[in-house]
Amino acid sequence: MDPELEEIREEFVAEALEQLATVEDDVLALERGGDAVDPDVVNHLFRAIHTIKGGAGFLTMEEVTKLSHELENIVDRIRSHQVIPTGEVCEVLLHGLDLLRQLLSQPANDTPFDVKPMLEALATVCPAADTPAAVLPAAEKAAPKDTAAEPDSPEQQATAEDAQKTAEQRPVKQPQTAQIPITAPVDKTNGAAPAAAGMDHTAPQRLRVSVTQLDNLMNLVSELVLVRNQNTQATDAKDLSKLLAIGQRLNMVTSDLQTSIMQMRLQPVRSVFSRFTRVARDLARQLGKEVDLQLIGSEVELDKNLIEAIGNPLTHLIRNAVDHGIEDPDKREASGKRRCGTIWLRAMHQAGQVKIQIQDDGKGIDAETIKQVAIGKGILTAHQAENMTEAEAYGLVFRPGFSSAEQVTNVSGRGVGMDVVKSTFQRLGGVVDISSCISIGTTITITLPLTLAIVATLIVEVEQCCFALSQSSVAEVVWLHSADCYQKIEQVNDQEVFWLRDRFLPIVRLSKVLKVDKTFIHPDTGQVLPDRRQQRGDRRLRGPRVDQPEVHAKSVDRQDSVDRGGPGDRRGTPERRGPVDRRQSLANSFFIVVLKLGSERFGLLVDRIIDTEEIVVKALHQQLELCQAYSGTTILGDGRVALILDIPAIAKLAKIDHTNLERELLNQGMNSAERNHPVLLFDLGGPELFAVPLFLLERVERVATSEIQMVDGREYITLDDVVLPLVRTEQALSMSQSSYSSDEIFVIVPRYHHPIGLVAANILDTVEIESTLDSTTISRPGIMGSALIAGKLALFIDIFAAIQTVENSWFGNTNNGTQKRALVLEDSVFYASLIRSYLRGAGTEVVWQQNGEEGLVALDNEAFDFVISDLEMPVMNGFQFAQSVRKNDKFRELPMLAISSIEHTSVAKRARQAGFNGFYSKLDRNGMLSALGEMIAQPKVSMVWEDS
Amino acid sequence: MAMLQLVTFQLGKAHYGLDIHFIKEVNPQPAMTAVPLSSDEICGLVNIRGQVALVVDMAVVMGFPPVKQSVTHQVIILKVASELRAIREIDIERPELFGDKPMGFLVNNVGDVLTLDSSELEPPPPHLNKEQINLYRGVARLERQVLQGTRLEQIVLQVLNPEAIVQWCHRASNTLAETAKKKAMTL
Repeated sequence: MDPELEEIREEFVAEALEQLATVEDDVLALERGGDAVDPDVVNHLFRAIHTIKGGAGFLTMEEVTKLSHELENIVDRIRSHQVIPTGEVCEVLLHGLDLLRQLLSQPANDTPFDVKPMLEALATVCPAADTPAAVLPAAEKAAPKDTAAEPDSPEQQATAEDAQKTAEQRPVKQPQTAQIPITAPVDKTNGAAPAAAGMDHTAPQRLRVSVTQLDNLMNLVSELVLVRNQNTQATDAKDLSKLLAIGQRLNMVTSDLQTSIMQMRLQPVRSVFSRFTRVARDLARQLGKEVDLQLIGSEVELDKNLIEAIGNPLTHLIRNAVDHGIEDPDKREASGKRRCGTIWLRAMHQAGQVKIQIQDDGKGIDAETIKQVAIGKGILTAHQAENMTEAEAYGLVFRPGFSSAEQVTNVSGRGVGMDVVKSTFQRLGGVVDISSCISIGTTITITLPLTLAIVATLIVEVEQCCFALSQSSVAEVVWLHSADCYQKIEQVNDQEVFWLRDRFLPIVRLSKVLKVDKTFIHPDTGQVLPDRRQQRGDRRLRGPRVDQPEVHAKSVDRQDSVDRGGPGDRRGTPERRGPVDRRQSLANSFFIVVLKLGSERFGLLVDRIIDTEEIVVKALHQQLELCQAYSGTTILGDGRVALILDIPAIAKLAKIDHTNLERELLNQGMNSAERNHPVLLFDLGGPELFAVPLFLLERVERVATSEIQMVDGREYITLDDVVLPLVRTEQALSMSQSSYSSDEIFVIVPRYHHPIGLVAANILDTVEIESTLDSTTISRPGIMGSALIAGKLALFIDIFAAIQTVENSWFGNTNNGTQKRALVLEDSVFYASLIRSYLRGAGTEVVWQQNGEEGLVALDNEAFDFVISDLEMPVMNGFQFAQSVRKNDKFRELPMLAISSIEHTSVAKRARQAGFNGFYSKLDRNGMLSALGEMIAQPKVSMVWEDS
Repeated sequence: MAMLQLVTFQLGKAHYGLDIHFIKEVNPQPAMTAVPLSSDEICGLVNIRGQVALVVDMAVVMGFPPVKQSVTHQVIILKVASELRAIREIDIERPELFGDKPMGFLVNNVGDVLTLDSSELEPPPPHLNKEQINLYRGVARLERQVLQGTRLEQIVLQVLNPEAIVQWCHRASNTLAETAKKKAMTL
């Protein structure tokens, strides 16, 4: 055997033995469980054996392959409930595992033990074609007494004897395995088991270090000693300036020391990568394929622990790529590809992390096929599959028990492997991503931290307790302060959600998950008191203001019950309250740390962000592992101990259910679009406050009055080489009050079909308002309606209408016979005004109705070029409306566009089924407006579906 | 006759002794980091020169309500398994119980180190239940000024069995985990 292979073999054996050490418990657990097979246990057992089989297959350890294949078969059938793990079955399994261990520990060149008797024993206990019904009587015949208590049934004895012939060590080992079922449960309760388990893993590990590195380290250490000596001297002399210099030197020496130690732990990935050339070649040959494996970035360095741990999962991925990814040479040729398939294995540094990528140019993964297989295997319901995106479908391959290969072969297709791959990388703090394109190939990307020992973290604080969060899972941090703390977080059933840029984010209060008592510091007395507020709806200081804080607290509890329920509460604009109101004070703030958890996100609500810190991870005490919330401990810069939060565990503790939440939001029709609208506030120098929805605007510019040019009695300015005619807002609204500064004005440029500028005197602010627009109180041309913003009445300008009134006076009415007519169905006044104003801006005549029924009447009476309809409306919703419309032959070709604030593929699908030509989310305001634009330009063009 | 060297401390009014061989150091008022969600007897974590030690409230172990850390409280840090294995003077049956990460006990008024002859030990008081009896090696009646500031009086020094106490802690957190699991299952 060549030395390269020998090295691989050694590694494999070490790993396999380690794995075997962990599966014995699984078998015993299966035995204890009897009929009720725990899927986790059986999966773990199956994976371990499968991994060994895979490795052995590659190393041509025939006996091991055969034996593990048989063992795997039995476990597979236990998994599918075809075989019940009786005492007898488990006994044979255990013996099989023992034999496997012996085979593995054998020196490579020894004659392997004969596995035949064991194979026979395995076949007897679990005949290949037999149903469980047939197995059971046989087992009972063989072991009439309780098999677990009486392991010496005749058949088992035969098995044991068979095995004995094959191994001399056998008698020593066998009694141990027989004892374990009785002793293990006892051990666990008195705490000895973990300690014993810990001792199993004390195999000595060595690392080869170059002498240069060691010398360098020695050098640094002697430097450190020197610094210490100087420090002692300087301290004795109380020489502050010298101490400062020493501090600086210490700083440098420590960082140098840290880098060199870390450097020692790093190894090039070449040591793992190089073995794959052979893995790929051998497997390709076996399968009659041609594969070229390209290694790129072998020099990239990774921590030794990681290098060792990624070997097995990467082997799986490479084998998968060869087996499932690359097609047969003939097939490849037929589809115009090179006969020889290529697999690229890349390693690269990216943003302080290491990326490993396996890319093949094979047939790719068909998301539909995956879904079908998943449905067939009962992993997925047909309904779930329908709503699944491609990315989610690819994720299915990582589920236990999934395999799309039609044939279960010795190579792969057992449906294990991928889930092992994922869990292994996750344990290492890595992330696995999969992307694919049919007939082009599949790319699997693994992102790993550089090292496990030092982690970049974000230190957060909750109630004076510090916790560390791994930065690799932090997406961003949101700071909420004063009133926002209570107004921006909504309640959906039991779950709090936060609208982060139009997407909902489930909120987990760290204090709640960890059951830490909430407190607040009273602004006047400085006392720490328990905080009784439960949620944002608690407005403790509502109602008539009384200056006695105690009275407040009491009157509030009564007020709460009134406040919480009513939907009207949500719509109220913030009222200015006195300094007594804690909610309004700047000191009242918290942070939402947005955490990535696979493809999902959630927000962790904490009191304070302390800092980012690179920490040295220390293992958790065994007693604390049981809390299932922490992944380790660390010592912070100030010497305090901090716990490292285990993010998946926290999510689990908080019981976030994204799917359920989404459904709930759908049901309640809650959505951000009808909630927060950013608007621009400005004035014309007069007392009136004006508002324009921000997303209707392209830009806002401050312009010196000297730049305004007068041509033919009209004003123009030039912005970025574009000449804009200016519209004086007061003119457009036929208002007289305005006083502009003599130096400068502001030009508001809306999204319009030609460049134009609206003039404002002062830009005041951008605020978010809730979409309750009062269109009755103030009504005049060019005004959409009014709303209270921070206690002041603001006028919403119908910007396009306003511009048009001015333009009409300039150019005369441009309306002629070609004007398009649109029917708009929308129950929200705000949105209706918005769409109307936009459509009118584009020269379309608009008829607005509030629900489907009114819409049908309008369609009967008038002719329209196209219809734009909301989906959620009272009386008759958009779906019903579209269905009724399409029933009428006259309207078969009528272009209809659905808009909705619910952004979900299922909604888009339903809309299409109902008969709409297109669907746009209100959340995607720009997309929606441009879709409207297209509709106006060419109403007959079939719309592109946006639901992919 | 084997001599016992005991570090003494108090919980409430009761006096306790712990074999000095198991003790690494006594640390007055280290900065404690609380561990939410942990079982009752766990006070928190402290930094012992770069090592993280888990501190257990001795009062809870002995069946008293948990105490709040105060000025008179100190943390007795136990040796870890490898340090205990190196001890030749006494036989330690199961050093592995002490693990590789240090553990400590929050106690009150750590006092003198006493030397006793192990023949002076009497069996623990009979009113204790089976589980509690395990935690004691025995009691010693001392008629002298054991601790500074106390009058000459008869003192019952309860000599603890460190191994049994550590085992108790393991079991306590295991029970917590199991109840949590059961709760999760029923949900």
